[in-house]
Amino acid sequence: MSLFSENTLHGLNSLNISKSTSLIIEKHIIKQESNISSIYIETRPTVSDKVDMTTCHHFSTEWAELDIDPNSLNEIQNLSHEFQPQSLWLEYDDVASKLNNPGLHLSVKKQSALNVKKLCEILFKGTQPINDDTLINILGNAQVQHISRLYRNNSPTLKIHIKPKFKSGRMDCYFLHEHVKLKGLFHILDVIKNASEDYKDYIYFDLSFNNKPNSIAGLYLSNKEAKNTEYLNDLEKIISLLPVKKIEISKLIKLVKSNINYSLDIKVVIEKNEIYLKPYLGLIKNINVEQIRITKKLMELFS
Amino acid sequence: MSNNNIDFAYAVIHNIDNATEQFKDNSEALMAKFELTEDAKVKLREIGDAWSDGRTVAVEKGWAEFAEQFIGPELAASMRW
Repeated sequence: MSLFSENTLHGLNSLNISKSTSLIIEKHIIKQESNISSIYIETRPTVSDKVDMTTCHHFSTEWAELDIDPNSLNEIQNLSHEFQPQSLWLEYDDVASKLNNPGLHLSVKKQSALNVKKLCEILFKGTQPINDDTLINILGNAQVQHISRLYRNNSPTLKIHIKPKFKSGRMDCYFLHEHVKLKGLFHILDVIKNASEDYKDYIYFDLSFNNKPNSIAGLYLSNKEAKNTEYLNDLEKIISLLPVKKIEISKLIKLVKSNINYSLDIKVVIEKNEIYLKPYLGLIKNINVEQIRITKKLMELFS
Repeated sequence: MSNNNIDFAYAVIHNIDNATEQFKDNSEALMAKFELTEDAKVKLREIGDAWSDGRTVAVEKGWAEFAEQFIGPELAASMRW
């Protein structure tokens, strides 16, 4: 077993995931390892067998070997370069039940409505899950990092992962109210507005769109850009401002601090009647492996 | 972090919009299109010269150095969700 698989298994053990779900993930990772660049595992606070997994497949991996509809893959590869995603991701909401039917997630390069719409066309085959005004409003206030097609409540759902923009040195996220009608979001946005400027690099949001009112949103707290090596204390300070039970916070922080060998982010889930925390464990394959793979492909072209 | 170098490598590897041939025929135009930094361009010119001269070992060494110095630092961010 490779070091990457071993690390993944150690990470799974630390998350208190049920044995059966852990085994499903383990087998899948070992089978697909050569085509995986990184893995993210998301657990729920109380249900140990319900785990979400997202795997990243960088352009140097063999996309044709992934569980992706060949027509969609063909359309992605036929996009003009300025619109092509550099990585494809597979999202398994509740991995134990959806291992054969993952959602597809595309990175967004060019920050334009045209680019996002082209990717939406591939994901949703002609149905438009988001209207132009909404999309333009989001792009005016945030960077769209990736978009996904997921099935939620038996309905194709567009999930958009965004990084709110800084405007005149401030991050104002109140535009989200136009797209998410959830009471808990008010509190979260107030916290963000009043939080120290130092914390704002950590803040990302997930919004979802389908034909029903938006009933869930996610605030991610992540040191994604690796700007701060001491970020865990900052994340603890931010979540202590949120309307979440202190016991939940201390449990999560204990878990995060005991797993500093992994990338561990925190997701704050905002639903109609509650706000709760989820750990988000990331295992990134050794950069050298990816680098060597890219080098090899470049060499082949100039041999 | 911008990932112009990864973007460039992606286009060349997959010959998107004819990038592989364009790099072989007119590397300056392709490097300008991807807005590569001057230090990355210097490394790529070395590779281009070695390839034109048929110096295979130098080409391989050049790509390995390009990947290490210019691709590697951008990879971590692009492998994050």
